[in-house]
Amino acid sequence: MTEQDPYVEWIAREAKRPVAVDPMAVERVMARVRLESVPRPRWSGWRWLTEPRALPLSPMLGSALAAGLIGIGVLFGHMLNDRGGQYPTGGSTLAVPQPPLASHDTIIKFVLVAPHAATVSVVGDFNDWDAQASPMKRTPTGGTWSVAIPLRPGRHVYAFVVNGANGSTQWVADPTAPLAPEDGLGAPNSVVLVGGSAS
Amino acid sequence: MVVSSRTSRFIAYAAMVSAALLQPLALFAQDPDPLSRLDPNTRFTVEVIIDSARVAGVPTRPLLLKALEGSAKHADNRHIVAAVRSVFHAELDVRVALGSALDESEWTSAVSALQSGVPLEVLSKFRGDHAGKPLTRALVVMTDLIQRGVPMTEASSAIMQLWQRGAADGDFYGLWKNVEQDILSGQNPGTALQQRIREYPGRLTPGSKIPPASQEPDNSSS
Repeated sequence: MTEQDPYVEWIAREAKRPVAVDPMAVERVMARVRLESVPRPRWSGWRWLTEPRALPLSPMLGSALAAGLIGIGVLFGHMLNDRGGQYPTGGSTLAVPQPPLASHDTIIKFVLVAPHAATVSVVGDFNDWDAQASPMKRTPTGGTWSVAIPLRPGRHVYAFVVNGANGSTQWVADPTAPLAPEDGLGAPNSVVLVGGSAS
Repeated sequence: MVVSSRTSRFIAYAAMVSAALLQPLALFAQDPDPLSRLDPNTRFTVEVIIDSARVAGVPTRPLLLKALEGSAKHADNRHIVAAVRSVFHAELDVRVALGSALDESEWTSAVSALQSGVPLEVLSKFRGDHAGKPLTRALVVMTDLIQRGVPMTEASSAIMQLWQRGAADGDFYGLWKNVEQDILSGQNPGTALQQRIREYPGRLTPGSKIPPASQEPDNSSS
């Protein structure tokens, strides 16, 4: 055993000497620690998304989830098909193609004088013969009804649906337009030719 | 962020329920099947006719629109099927008379001409290179004149000769407008056409089938 350096012995003695601590010091330190915000782990949301976990699913709920996902895919496909305005190419898919409005469409104003009508609408091949699609507005001065519709170039067949105040409904051809032949459906139609390729 | 597995499960279930509920609503909103307006038997028959048209290579859209028109007019099922079938048969006749190189307006105006009583042999006279000639306008005016009471032979002869002589779109429209006004003012439809067609000198051949007019042409409303 070697003789100890007196300086080292002094350091050892000082280190072993009990230190007098203020009894409230611990409380003060802990209070200060509690005031500090807990550092939040970065990317916790990403970790929550990517962290593998077991998700218990019953067979019924699993099937419902699969059906829902397939349904969303089918709907998305329908939407794309409708926007493209494609004609059915086979089978019996009979969705009416709705050609998108194009720059060469022409705004055609349909006008009908029907002073005693409650409501009037124009129906034709341009709105799939839907009586709700193109309601006409009464002019402020009285019995004239009108609506402006963009139409593709070509021949269009149409008629007016006049609803009376008593609930009656009458189909009326445009008195200012050429007539289409009677086709056995019980009401006459009119024809409008829109420029462009309407040869 | 602390997310319990229970919360994860809740989110997954909510997503599934939302997808299941939104799917039928979205289908209703799109109305992808307009023929659903027809009753099943009528729909089946219409679909068969449309499939036949597709196979035959004639336009199917006019058939579909005719079915929708019948539904909108609340026609009975028998009449809807008859109207659709009539258009289909007329399209086949149009193809014989004019060929297949037609746009949709030419198809439908030719079908209307046949349905108004124009014979196939008369319609076939419009066949050939009609580039620059207003075929649709000519057929629409001819059909309208027949609908308004002009004898078919007179209407078809006048329109045919105007068309062969290179009448412009405005010529057909002007003729139609003037004859219509004359008819509305009480004139005999055939007479009105005879008088008005004379306003196009040099465009009719000497052998025109238009009978001589009994009156001098009235130019006041042209």
